[in-house]
Amino acid sequence: MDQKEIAELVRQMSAELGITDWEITCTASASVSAGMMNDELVDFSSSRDCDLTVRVIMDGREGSATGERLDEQTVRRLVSLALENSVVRPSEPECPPYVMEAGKTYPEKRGREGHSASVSQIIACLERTQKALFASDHRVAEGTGSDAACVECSTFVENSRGLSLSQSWKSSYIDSSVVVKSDGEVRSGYVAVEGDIAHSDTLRAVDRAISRLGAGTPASGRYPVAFSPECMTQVLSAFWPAFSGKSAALSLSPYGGRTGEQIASQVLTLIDDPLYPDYPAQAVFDGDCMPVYTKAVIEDGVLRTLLYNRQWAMKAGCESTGNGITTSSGSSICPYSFYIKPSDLSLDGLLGMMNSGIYVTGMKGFHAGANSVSGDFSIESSGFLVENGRLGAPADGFTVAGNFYDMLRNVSAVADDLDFQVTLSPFRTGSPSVLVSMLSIAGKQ
Amino acid sequence: MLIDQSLIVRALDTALSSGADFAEVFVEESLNNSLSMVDSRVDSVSSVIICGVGIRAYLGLRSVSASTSSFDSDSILAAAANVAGAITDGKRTAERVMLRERLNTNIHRIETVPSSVPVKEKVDFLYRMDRAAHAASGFIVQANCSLADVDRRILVANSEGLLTSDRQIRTRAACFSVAQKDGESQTGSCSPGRRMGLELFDRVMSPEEIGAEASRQALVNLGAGYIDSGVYTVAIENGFGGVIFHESCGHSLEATSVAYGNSEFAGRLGERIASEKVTAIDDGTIPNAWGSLNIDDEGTATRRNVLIEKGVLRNYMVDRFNGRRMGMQSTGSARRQSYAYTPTSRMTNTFIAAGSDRNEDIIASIDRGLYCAKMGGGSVNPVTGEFNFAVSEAYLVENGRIGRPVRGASLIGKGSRILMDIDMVGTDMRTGQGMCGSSSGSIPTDVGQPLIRVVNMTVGGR
Repeated sequence: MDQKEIAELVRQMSAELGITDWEITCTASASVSAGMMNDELVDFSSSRDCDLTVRVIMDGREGSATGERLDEQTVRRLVSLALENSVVRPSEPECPPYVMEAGKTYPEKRGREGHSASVSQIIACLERTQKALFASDHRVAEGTGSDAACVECSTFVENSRGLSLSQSWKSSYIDSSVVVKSDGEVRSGYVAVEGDIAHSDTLRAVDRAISRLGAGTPASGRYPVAFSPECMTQVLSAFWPAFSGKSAALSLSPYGGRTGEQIASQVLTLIDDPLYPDYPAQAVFDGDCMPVYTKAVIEDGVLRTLLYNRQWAMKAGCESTGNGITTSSGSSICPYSFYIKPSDLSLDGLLGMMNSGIYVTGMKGFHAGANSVSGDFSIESSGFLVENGRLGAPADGFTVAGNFYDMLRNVSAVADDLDFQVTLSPFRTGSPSVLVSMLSIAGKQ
Repeated sequence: MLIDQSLIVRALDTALSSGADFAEVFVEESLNNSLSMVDSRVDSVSSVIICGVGIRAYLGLRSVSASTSSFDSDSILAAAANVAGAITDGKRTAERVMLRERLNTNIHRIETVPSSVPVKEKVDFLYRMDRAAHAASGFIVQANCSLADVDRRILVANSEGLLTSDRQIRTRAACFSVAQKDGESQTGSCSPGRRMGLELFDRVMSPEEIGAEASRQALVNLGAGYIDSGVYTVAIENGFGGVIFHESCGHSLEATSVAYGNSEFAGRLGERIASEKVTAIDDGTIPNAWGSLNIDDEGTATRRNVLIEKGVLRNYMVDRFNGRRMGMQSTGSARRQSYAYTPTSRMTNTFIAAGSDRNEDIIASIDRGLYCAKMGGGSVNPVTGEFNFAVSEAYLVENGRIGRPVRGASLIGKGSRILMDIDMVGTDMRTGQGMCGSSSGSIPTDVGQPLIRVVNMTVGGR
């Protein structure tokens, strides 16, 4: 069934069942990906998938259900499941469920179309990349691999109030995991690049792996710590829920009712941008069909706003920030390009300010080692010692521990090297290198 | 049957048409239900129908796959044609496909199929969990309770003639409590799951026990100080403590890493890789266990796979494709989150087997160390073996006695090293449930062990 036929079937069923309002959100995606290990193409896959979410409102309650098949039997089942699910949802007179009326003005996307890549381009790109990786240094070893993919995604929304919206994007990425071996020591390095994969290279992964050779474990203690962009984006990914209006309302974040307060260092500005220039996966409407806009969440250390969808904004007595996201259970909250604003300070300048300490370039285990409610984190890390303001010996086998909420107050500088995670989705975090005055390192006794 | 058998044969024929030496069709239809409660009110209710077809072909050591979320013949045959087009450009070499259906013994009795129970009745379990969580203390400011159930039907057919299917039902309840005092928030959680229906609440833990346990842990952490970072002797409790083996060694024993030499344990079968105290097993055949399967996602029957026997490496976890590279048979370890993922070797229920040390002797043997009562999750780099995991409830041990609680600890190390450093293993093996993420998606796995002692563990704190 196409979108019009699905909408017509849901319209008919709604009339029969007494459903007040309905909305369908259909996301179709197509992807091609391939993986090469050493000089072999070991994996190739393609997929065409659909997600249909049906949302219904009856007796002031909302229910939803999601399915992947677009046939009549599935659509009928989704309407029934959505209706059954609505029965147990509490009626919320302070924020009655609704579907968006037609007639809103939505922003335009800013900048370039995304890059797509054909199967042959992906394979050629992988072959070229693997050759270049192995040719770049004799220590690059078996086990070195690269993956590349191209994804195209489009979303259509139609509802009982005559609204019909669509948005789409496409993008490609390549990543390389490089293994180097030297004198019995094994190290690895990783780089991912989003965009024009035909003209991207991932040779930095070799440099990263080689730079790890000979790493030693630093002594335990308290050090000034700088985080690389890759690491700080991981920190933001783990702790962004602290800026969700829902988390604040449910005592899961310390930031409820603190708009206007200084919660971070003055050098810190945190932005949520659904329309980050030239990012292909920009969004122009959110999961509630609200127009999106760019906003500072923290400006010069002051909390300016939390992130809201319609439901939690109404409960908080404020306007939605256009951060709704459609899930199988209805609207939830999610940022877009969520990043720390860079300064004009170079990384060298930042390390000079630090003088001595640790520059952390690798962190693992945030899903378990970070608690977004308490703010505590304790994360396996690797990086470099910083001596006399310059990068020194590689270091690994240590943890960096602290509290995110304290850490935001103790940021003493941000650099100019803003970089984003590669997610191929509207949600991603970004950051330049960030210097924190003091954190705990667990390494050697 | 989820799709017509003649269509399965046509899809296999199409995938084989350009010269592949093996082809497989995987069909799935799953209903995933979940509901959650926050602020003592129903917060979300969701039903997701996952259905589609994944098609794979091999030619030697090359694998190609395609998937579609449609069951119509045009989409399925187009996916099969994509596979044939990408794998090679020759002529068919495989013999005619003759499917023979195999029925599997179902060792998982399900008393109450969750998807057959009205949502209203399920909500009652959450109210009970929520009330118990809040009743634990006035300091509990929030309880997030949830119930998720999965009813997964799969069919696997391949060019060797296999045609088989399975129905996999799982239920998991969870409570996440937040305790608050003087502006400080701490959390605790409890999330039992089984390959069973709603009898989970009668046979494993009641809603009240789940809510109370989550709040107990949050309250312990509320009063806890931070641990000083350093190197400690560590005692790790049974149940989810087994995540230490899962992360530090389990992933490095999966063919996904071993086949390409990307594991510190590759090529070491028969070698001593662990202390003699360590026997480690991956067992997908435990009735009603969270990670159990009648068949894996390639249709191979699961089995009890002894990985390490008294410190000696005996086996890996192997899927069909990586088995080709390794010259080994599948161990029934192929798993995928759904039809949209390419399956690879994964764990099922993985645990360190019971030893002979008494728990009281293990604690009494530690002069200054850490007792990890509950573990969080973790991760590993299989190439280097470096792992980390979080401790969610811990106590200092001084002079052989468990003392004050501490929070914010994480354990890091290297898999090959920790296996040698496990020098005491207790008798009471228990498991804990987790969702394990890897290249073939997120899958349910059990981890387990008795109380163990590890010397020289780096503990990150503050």
